[in-house]
Amino acid sequence: MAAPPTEPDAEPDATEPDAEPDASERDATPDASVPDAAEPSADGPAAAPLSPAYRAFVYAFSALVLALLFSPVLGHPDEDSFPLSHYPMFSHERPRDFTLTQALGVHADGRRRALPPMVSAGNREVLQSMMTIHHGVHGGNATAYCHEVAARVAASADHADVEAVELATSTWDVVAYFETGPEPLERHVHVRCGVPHEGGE
Amino acid sequence: MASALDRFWMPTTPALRLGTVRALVGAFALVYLLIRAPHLFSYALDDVDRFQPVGLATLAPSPTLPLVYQGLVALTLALAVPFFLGWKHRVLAPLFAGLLLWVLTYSNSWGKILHTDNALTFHVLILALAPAADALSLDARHRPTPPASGRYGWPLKLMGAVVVAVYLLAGIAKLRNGGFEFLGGETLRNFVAFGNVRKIELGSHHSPLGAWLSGYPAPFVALAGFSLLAELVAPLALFHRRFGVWWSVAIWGFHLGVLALMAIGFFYQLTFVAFLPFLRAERIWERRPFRRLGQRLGVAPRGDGAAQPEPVAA
Repeated sequence: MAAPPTEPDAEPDATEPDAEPDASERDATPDASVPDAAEPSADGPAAAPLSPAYRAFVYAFSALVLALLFSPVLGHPDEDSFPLSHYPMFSHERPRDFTLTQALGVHADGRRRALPPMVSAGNREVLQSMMTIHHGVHGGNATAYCHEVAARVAASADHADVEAVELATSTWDVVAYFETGPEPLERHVHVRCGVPHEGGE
Repeated sequence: MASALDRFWMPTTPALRLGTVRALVGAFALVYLLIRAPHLFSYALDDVDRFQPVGLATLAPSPTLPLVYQGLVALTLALAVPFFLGWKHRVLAPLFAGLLLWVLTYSNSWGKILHTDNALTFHVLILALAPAADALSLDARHRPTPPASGRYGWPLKLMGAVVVAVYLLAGIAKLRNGGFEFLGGETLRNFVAFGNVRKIELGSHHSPLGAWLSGYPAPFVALAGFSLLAELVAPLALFHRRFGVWWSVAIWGFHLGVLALMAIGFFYQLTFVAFLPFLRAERIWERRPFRRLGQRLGVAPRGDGAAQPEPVAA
């Protein structure tokens, strides 16, 4: 492609309202075809024309990227992938009821608190920990997974007062959770195991 | 017709603009990968039952050997440095882009897909295949800055199209899956409450502001309308420079809202690096606090600042 000198961009940068037009750039608007000899380029001589082969590469590569980006639209709304996605977050109706399989630490006074991802799943990422817990509980060997979590609890100085681990599936009304309190509407404990604190049980 | 399309898709652009975008995207990628390294390394797993491959990872029949995966993560981290510096760009940058794609795809192949890295991955891929190290790079040392050209315009246009596509697709998904019901605000309110409950009950940090606000339905009507409108008008950002800048600010505000209400950080967007394709990025070298660095690199005006930037590569 030739790089024909055209009108310089007449729009000031929105981040710099009083800025002068950029002398080193030419407007991309289709009707801006008037040569502007008065505006010197800050980047020296005019560029050599782009070869047909290079232009073909640019359009082919751009078309490929755009086709890939929009390809998830043709798939099922519930399918997702990476890095191609149709970004289904927030797109489905979200009921107030929410059911989650979680790892709870049971304290000496009977309080139950969710264990953090590094303890419950050995992973810092909260959503990945959710999948790890779900798989650990529903993957066929919940007891072994409970002991695995309990071992991490025992190794954590922040959880010295946690006496047991419960793997449970709980359901809440997410709006009521913040209005009336965090008690679950229902909770099913799949397995409970003790924490092997050093010198303890 | 072809000429008009060329001017639109390959606008004559200074090499320094593309070089600046490469350096800033590279700096983000380097810092981001370093911070995320423990998370990425944690997927050195051989648990076949948990492996749910997506994207390119579906080509692999089973998890990669943990040691091999760890090596690939380490190599990705190492190659982020030359990408940032623009060193041996034509060879090392595509390698970095390919590894980044593989490592991020693999880390998303364990049951939960995160959507925070999609735009970054595409931007690195595009920059890797573009002449993004013709200025402000180690490759460009001792060379005169090449003249402005369409060669430096199309990568930024395509990067902008990637950003636009992300939000347009999200808007389409909302209309496709829920229709205009989303505009009622209840879905968004429930999502904010749900997101916070989920974080609390998984032992993580949540947003007290989102928790408090979920008791008030009215603000979510406005927020839902704003977010859907911003997503659906996204393509206009490609056609009008000033609109593109203001649209970027609006989407940045949207992500700020997501962070404030749901404690979910899309850092590529929040740092504004994702929106650089819509800006004249090279102008940062004329401003504090980058001016002094720009002068040392030979890309910022010296003296009183009235002069044009020196057309000299780093």
